[in-house]
Amino acid sequence: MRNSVRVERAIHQLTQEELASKVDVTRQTIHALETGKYVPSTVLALKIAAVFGKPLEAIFQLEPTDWDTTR
Amino acid sequence: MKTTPLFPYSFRRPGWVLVTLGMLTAILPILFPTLGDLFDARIPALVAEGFMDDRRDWLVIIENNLQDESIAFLVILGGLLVCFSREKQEDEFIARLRLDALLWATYINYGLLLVALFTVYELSFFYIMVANLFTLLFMFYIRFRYLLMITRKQIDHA
Repeated sequence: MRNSVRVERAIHQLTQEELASKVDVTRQTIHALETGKYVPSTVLALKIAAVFGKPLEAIFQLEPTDWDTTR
Repeated sequence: MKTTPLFPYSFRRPGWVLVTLGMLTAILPILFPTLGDLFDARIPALVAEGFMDDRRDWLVIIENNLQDESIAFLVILGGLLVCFSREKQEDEFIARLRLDALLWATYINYGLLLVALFTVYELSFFYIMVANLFTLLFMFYIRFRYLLMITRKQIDHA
């Protein structure tokens, strides 16, 4: 899954710590999200989108490899 | 939302106290042999069978030295509290790391046990089984702490 969390964070001038605090997760989680090491739960993704005031699909996009469940 | 059944963060320190007490229970009687006699007791047993006996007794009172049992109880209970207490900041990513560490520890622990089944025999295998009481918790703790450490390092270098 692709995401533009880092870009949106820069637009809104939020640090990883500040964004983490707003959505009630650790800074490690935001970092793992931004580096593609972790796919958030639906609830967390919706919270992040709500913080940035954008629809979910504007922040998180499926990639072709996400459809391959045999990986 | 379902919450993970973990102990509160505050249970971690008592967990370490129990593990330490377990270690002391193992070490001190070696240095002071008479301390071992403190663990002699008459206790009810659901089932008891000697190593050299053919007889197996059910629901009996037996005389036993409970030092080994005390060590195992303290270390296992303490280990459970240490390993499965919440982090100070707990979230879904930490939960994911915890699950990954538990899976890794289970694979390694039972993988080594499978190798031991056909390479270690007789009394030595008994010692392997005794160690196996603790190795899953130990491996999980090491792996989980390692995963937390490298994620924190990645942030520091970001």
